[in-house]
Amino acid sequence: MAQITKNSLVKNFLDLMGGEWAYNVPLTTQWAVAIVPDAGGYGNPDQLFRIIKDYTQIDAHSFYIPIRVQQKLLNENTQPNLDGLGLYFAQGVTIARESFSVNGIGIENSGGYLKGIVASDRLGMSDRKLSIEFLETNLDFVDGLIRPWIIAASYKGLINTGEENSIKCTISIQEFTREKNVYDMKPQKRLHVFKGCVPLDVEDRVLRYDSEPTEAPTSRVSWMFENYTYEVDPENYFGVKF
Amino acid sequence: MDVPQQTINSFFNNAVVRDFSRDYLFRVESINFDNGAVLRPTDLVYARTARLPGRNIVNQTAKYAGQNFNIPGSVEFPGSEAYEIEFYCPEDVYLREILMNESTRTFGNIFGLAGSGQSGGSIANANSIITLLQLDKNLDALYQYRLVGCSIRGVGEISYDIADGTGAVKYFTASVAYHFFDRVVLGSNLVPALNR
Repeated sequence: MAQITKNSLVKNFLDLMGGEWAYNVPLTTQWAVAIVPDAGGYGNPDQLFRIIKDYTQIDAHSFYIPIRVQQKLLNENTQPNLDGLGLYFAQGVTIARESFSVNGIGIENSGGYLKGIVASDRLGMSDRKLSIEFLETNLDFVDGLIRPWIIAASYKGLINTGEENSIKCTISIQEFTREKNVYDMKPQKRLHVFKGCVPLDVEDRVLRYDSEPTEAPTSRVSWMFENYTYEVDPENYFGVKF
Repeated sequence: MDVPQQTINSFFNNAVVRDFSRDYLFRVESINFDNGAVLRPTDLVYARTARLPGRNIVNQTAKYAGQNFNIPGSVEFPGSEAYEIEFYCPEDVYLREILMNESTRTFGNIFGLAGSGQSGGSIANANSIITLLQLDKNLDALYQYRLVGCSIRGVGEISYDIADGTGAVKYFTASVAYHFFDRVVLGSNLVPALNR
């Protein structure tokens, strides 16, 4: 290995960190989420509500979502465009991990010989979850959309029956960072796209007569997904699909 | 090292030309709670003290080889959860009553009702604004600061001294939360405000 000169450590770190966008430390609070139903797409989320309504009515009329509520949940007011604000209700996102396991393989009574390492299974999509925390509002995104969506999905199942009849959605997470001084666009450092998403779980919710919390209340929702892609520095359209 | 621009003489020359900002060259011009209390300049002559708010960039630290590298993060508005204004208390106490009514509108404990803005949305909406002015000695406005999304937090107590009072004028403090502020430059030859 080559010798490292006396002054190179700190100075080189500083030169990289401050000298080039690619090595700049990003901001962690600048991101946006968009949820786009497969049925009807971004412009026509009513189609998803029709499917949810059809299936939840099997269960009980009490899960009926009024039209005026439907029109306020996933429309242009709450996610004006895919490059912009993102979904108004989203407050936090946990992006699912990626992993595979390894096994030690050897023979019995091998004494001091170490076992070899071989690759085992990659973590299955069913074992990882995307989770999103939603801001609780008077309209209530979770009880107005997610809860009946979970019930409808449990009746309908996950078999693909065509896009127009799909209970699934695509969730995009854009991570923004400091300006690149190239375009007027808000600078993205990464774009995650999760496809075939269905909400699976809404966490328990507790109401108490304590004092009001100092942070606005949120509810965490776990989502399954069929596959995901991400793009590092999306301006270069460097996409990787899994 | 010779620093010819920073001598006593150059300090004096600058002091004559640019003068100094004085502690009284500041006004709370208006307080407007959307659909609620409104305090106009004539009411706010009783505002005694107030602060020009600050703006902090959060520091992020990256460590390398035992050394901290301080990197700028996102923004915080220190004190935005309780911006304090101290008022003279008029004899009819109307200023405090206006603010007390705003507090009751924000949350009324008797019926457990919370108020709303003009649109039926949050009281702390973009139409609820405190306007502050920085002045020069001609009382011309230099910069206007607008604290956006204000809503009442505290209406302070007034302590009276019934037995030993000397007739001292009473004050009270009100605190108001806001989301952020923007700036408008009003005087000529000033540094333009950059809002982005």
